[in-house]
Amino acid sequence: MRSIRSQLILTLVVCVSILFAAASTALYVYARDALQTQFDEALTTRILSFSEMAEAQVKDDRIFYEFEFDEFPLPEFQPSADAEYYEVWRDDDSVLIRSASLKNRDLPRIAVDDALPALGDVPLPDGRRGRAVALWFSPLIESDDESPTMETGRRASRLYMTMARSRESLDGALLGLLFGFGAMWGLLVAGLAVTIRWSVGRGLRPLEKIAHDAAAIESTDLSHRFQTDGLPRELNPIGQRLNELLGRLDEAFQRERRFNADVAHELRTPIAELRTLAEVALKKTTSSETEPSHGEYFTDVFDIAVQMESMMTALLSLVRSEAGRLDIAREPVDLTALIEKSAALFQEEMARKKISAEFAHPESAIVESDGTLVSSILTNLFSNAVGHAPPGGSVRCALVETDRGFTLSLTNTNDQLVEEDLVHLLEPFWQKDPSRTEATRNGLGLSIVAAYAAALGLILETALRAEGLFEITLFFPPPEN
Amino acid sequence: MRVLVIEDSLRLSKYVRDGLAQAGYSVDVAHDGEEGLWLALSNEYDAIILDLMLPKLDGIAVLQRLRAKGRKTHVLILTARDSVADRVRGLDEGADDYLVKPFALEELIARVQTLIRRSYGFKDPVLSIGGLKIDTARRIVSRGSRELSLTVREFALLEYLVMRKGEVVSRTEIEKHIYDEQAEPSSNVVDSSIHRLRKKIETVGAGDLIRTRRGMGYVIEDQKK
Repeated sequence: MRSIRSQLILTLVVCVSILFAAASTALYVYARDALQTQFDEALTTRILSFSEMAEAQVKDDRIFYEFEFDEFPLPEFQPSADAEYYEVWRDDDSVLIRSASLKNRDLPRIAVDDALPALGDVPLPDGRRGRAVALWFSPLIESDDESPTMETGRRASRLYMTMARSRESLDGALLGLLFGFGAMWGLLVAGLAVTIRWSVGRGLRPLEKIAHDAAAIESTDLSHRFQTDGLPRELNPIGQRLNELLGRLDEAFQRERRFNADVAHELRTPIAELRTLAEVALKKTTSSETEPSHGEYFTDVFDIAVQMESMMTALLSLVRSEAGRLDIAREPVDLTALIEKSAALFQEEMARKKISAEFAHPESAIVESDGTLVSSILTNLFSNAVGHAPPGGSVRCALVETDRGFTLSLTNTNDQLVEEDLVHLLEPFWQKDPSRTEATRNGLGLSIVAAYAAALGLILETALRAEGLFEITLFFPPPEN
Repeated sequence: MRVLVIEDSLRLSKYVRDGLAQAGYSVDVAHDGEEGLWLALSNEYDAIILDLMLPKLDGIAVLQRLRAKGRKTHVLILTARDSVADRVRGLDEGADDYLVKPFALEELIARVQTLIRRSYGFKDPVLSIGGLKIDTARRIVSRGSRELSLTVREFALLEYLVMRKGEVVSRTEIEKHIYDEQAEPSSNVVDSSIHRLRKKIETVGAGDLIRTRRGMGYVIEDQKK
């Protein structure tokens, strides 16, 4: 499994190591060149100053050379373990002078193209690696006070001088520098690994806390929320999104729980009634104490069966609708006729509850829809309005045609609902009364209305109006042609 | 024994009442939480059967208020809610038993009997006094191989007296525990029942177990030899 910590540590260590290695290499090359230049400059300066110390004199038409450094030999050119060397050739390649340290051996000659000194690495006679500088030069012909010549002030023929010294000190310094950089690189990588590991671990601690908090969330309780106050700025949005997700899950969980409890109640209570009724009836039938009264039992059995059938039918309609398995047959449907037909089903109940009804609709209102589903919607809407209007209340149905199609509004008095209830109204089994006492209502009516409306492409709105009026509005869009 | 049923389903409460009455209990019924709480506080019940989803005042609130008033009446919760959390909450709030709908009436009655026995400090369903064996589960009274033929009310009276064996039980207490609120016992109905019960007990040779304490009530105890 990929680890953010390992990946971060590896990436950071590798990247920083590469960067440091590149920087070290550049620094080393710069230092090496600087040291080499410094070494070469010292060597060049010396050969130039030595060349200046050479003099020529003409005697009897012969040129004699004098080298001050040869007459007064410097200690570093004497034979020793760290001796330096020089050698001077005439133009005809014959050796003019050489340092005592050479012991009659020759220095390798390096090519010199012009008047400038040329530098190169050479093996020294004693086997050491050396650095040599060479140049062609022409000593100035000096006058002899005793026999001045015409040549005074001119240059003698050119000489080739080479000078060499061991470069082991330079190579040693460069090697030391290289090892120094290498050691620093190694230490840095190790130090980086430790520091980055600590730093990444510290940086990831809030994530570990989130993971720990998440592990503490139980499947049966989603009320837990992550503490976002102490989270770093980068993780704060994640914490907030997780909390929002938990909130949504909790809401869905609660809705599911309510649904289960409601279904359980709707199913368990009539089954319990049926079972208890049967047990009591059986006992009475076998008991000599009481005369059995089957009529009452059968009435209740019938009522319970009707109640359960109604609930199962509604539930199946809802499930079918939500699964998209409704057979929709669109045809011209007269809304006015369907309203009158549906309202007629509740005339008796409205009369019994002394509910005043008011209808406002055109003589005919044709829409392109499914007559069966629209009829079911209207029946459920009237059932809801009449069922929830208190005795002496009112129900008002208005159908108006606008340029956006037909708008149907059904308003009924209902002083029980509050604004917060509106979000639950369309949930399956939701009832204002949590005790669900009323056996004739199962809380599925408006859910079916919502499901059918969605299937037919109708827009459904619910609202609470002034003076305890609940209004549900359906928009029938005009046909798409 | 007198039981209160607080259940909003009219049909279920009716048949539970009938079933309990067949088993010899006096039963009062309330259809909402407020009425149930009022009855529970106004009368002395031997057990209360309580639904949770009730109008006006839910079952848990009824239970909390009952316990807050110091009432120790045994309560059996009878509900459609079957989750562990609901059961735990009900029991935590002071219920003594929990039964989920749908249920077997026999089980409900057995549980109610157990609660009542427990409230009087008995564990064995068979009570005994003066050679009489009172089987509270099977609702049978016998002495040796002879079985007493008692009416439901007579059995309830004997059961209540035996549950309070050795204690003087007043007529009012008997009325409160044997008759429900719909029954209006006449002034001598308790005396008449006691009289009939004594006679039936004597027919099986158990002697005069029920003594009258003038001006106070009745006491049942083993005969002193």
